[in-house]
Amino acid sequence: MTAVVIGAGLAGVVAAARLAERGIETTVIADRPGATIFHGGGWQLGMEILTRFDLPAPQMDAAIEFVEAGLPSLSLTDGPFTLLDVDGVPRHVDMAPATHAAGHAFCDPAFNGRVGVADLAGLGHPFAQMCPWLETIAVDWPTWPKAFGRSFAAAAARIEADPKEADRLIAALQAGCKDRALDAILLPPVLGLSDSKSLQARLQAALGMPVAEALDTLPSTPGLRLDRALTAWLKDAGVARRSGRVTKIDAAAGTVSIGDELVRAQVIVLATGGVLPGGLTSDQVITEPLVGLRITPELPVDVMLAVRPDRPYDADLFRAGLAVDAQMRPIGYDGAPVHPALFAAGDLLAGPDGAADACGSGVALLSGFLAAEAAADHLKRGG
Amino acid sequence: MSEYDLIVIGGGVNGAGIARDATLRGLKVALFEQLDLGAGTSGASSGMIHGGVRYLEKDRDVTRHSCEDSGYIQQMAPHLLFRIPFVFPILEWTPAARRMHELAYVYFQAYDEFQPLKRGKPAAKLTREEAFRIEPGLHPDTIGAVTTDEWAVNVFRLCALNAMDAANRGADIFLRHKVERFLKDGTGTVIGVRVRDLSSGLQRDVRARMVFNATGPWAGRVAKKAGAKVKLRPGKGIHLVYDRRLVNYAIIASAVDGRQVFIEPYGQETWIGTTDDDYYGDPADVQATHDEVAYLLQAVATVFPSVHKYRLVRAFAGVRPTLHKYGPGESDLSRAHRVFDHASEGVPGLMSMGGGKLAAYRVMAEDATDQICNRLGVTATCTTRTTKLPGGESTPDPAEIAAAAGIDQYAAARLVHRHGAVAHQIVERMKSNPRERHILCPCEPVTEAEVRHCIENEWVATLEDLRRRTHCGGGPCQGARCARRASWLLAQYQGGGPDLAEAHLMQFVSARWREQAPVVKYQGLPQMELTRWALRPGDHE
Repeated sequence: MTAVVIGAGLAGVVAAARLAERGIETTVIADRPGATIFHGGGWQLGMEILTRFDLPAPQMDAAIEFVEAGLPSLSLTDGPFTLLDVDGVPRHVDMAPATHAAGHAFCDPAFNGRVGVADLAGLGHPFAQMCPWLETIAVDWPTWPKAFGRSFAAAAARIEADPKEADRLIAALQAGCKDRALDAILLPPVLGLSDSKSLQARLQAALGMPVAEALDTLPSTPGLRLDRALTAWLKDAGVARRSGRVTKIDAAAGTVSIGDELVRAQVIVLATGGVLPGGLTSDQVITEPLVGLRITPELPVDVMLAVRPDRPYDADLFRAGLAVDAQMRPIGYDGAPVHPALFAAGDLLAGPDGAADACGSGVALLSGFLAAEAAADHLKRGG
Repeated sequence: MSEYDLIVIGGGVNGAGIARDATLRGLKVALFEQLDLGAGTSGASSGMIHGGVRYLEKDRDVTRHSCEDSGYIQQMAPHLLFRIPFVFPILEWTPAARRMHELAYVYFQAYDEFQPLKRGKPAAKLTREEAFRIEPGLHPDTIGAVTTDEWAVNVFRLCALNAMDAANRGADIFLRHKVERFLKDGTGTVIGVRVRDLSSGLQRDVRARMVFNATGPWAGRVAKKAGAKVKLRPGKGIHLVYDRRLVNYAIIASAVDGRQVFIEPYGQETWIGTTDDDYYGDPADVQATHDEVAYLLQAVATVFPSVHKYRLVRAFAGVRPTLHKYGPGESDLSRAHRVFDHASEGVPGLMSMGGGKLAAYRVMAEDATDQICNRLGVTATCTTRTTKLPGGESTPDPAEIAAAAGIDQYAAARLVHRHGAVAHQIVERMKSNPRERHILCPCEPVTEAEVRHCIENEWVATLEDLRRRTHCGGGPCQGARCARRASWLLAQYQGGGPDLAEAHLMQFVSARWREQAPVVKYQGLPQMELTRWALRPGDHE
């Protein structure tokens, strides 16, 4: 039994790992990371929204447990949490990697204690200035040449590449906190890309107080970490990963083309993402470029853009995508599944809007899980 | 007793220009603008300070005066202007193409006589190969081309600098103040205005010896409040903005109805303009439509076919205050201006202006101020031909600015373009506080120092004001990277917290959306997804 999953974002990897766990020989094909690399670190699941849009919530718990177990490097922790991002903006999230989740205890304005915010002035980001209600700690780090980049993501990459940078950061933080009698510290997301949790533990031990990372905006350290964790998961799950751009899908023939090359599969899961990574494209209308699947609602972009002026970014346009049946199979113009062995998951589905409904991570992990379950059931029934 | 000699209504280039000219002649001036400097027609223009080449056949004097005035504007604020060379491609299927090529060259050679008045370069006749060397994106059917030379200006800053110069010389500038009605004495003479401060909601009466209505497309509505008439035939025009430079030269194209449209390099963007359609709606509501966008793209594609491949960021729209004439098509209406002295219709004390074009703004302000002074018995003459605008005294070398401030040379060059000699003050800020070197808006780029300078000195009260002064948040990402931080800075200056910052941000997002929505289907949706993600509201308790 063979499966091909197209797309290596959160939805695609969850689907592939689940298929592999169900004993199916699975290949993931992707030519680049998905919109997953923009993940800010706060996982919003939006269960209420998901049920409203007919994505069944009962499997949610199983899907979440599956993802938590599959991404051990992130140490995903169940919320709900209120966390700050690097622009000082509070975000309600349902789940977060441990290094961020630790901030919940002291990002609350009611926290009874002195919270310091690490001001890494050398990175040129006004993080500390945007949290003026916290106490600024001047931290004399980074020290590397400007040519290596001065974003938080670049700092995390430097720590990943050179373990001595972590020692320097710890020493600089210690110097900055000296005689300050602080109770906790908020850092921008710089603690490496693969094992930030143990780095956080080292910092907490050295400083003698809780340390947490803020959520990120763009570009995103947590997104890079998530991408690494997903890649590791595929490897651990025994999923083959092919790099390349899928040019054609023929569900009836059971083939996926990468240029001239054909990959055979008994089931195909489409997890190519929404408009941002190119899973959906827009011109006069929204289209699904690989198969030409039906888009719901079937309206011109202009019409879907007609919005209420008081909520400008809440347009039908951002809810357009593939309609699927209960087995996560895209529905064609006749209302029936396009093909019994073609499934879809993630941001290319119609209905929920990740930004407006605070449910992007939830849609990806739940639909990826459900698509894998349905595809595996289909195969076990004998295709 | 009047507080002022002159009240100017309207903070576009005309209102600000008149306020400056009148102040320079010793008048005590108050200016009231309902939104922001250049927020209406001025800011929606093509930014061209052209020399009136199209009047060459009919009236060479118009061309001469236009070129002279282009030269004066260059002297006032040299940093604010940038050269836009034009190329007129001759296409194979143009009727009598070879002859047209020769004729076009002769025509622009005639224009060369006036080019020295504005430091313009002479026309050139290019072969097919030469045309493709300078502009590789031309249509393959191009058989040759002719070039000429024009200038463009940063219009938002031109408006702001005129207002700032007036203020520096004693004028009072009131933004976000709406004139609600006119005050009249027993004889029916206008003696002032009742204004509402839109920020506080408070009303007050302000008196002056003369009121001048420089509200552009609003002029008819404003004059009506005093019982006077300004008859306009307003014409809507839109521009499209790409995320990058696509062309080195402005290229002229013919639209499906025979009108001439252009694609021009503007800053680091590319603009396409423009349309001209009768418009009788509220000028504040004007927005580009999908049909207008398609019309411009179709026209430009005939000379620059790859235009469809690139990402449109936004489309902005404005309304020309064209003088009324019944009959001719919109494009054939005169661009002449006219000062209305409403004394002739029984409303003394009030004057209005209609018509005109950006390139003639200084002359128009001179003409209007001459007539105001005439009425007020002031004999001082116009000095705006030679008086520098703030920052126009000298143009610093960007390399030196970059070295002194410790910022990137390109960032320094853009800073100098906007601020001229005032860039030195902003450099001083960065020297005394190195953190202000932080590039707040990476698209333009704009440093934190410049943002702070503008908030402190240039009446910036909203993120849209900041965009108009610095282009912060107006570039390819439409604020995804800078708007949150800028909103926070602004809120801090205004003594507010996260709620105020959030309110600023949402107002900015709505304003950006109005310009993005008409073009989002042209490759714009992925960036819009990212921007709306970055700027989504926070979960404040």
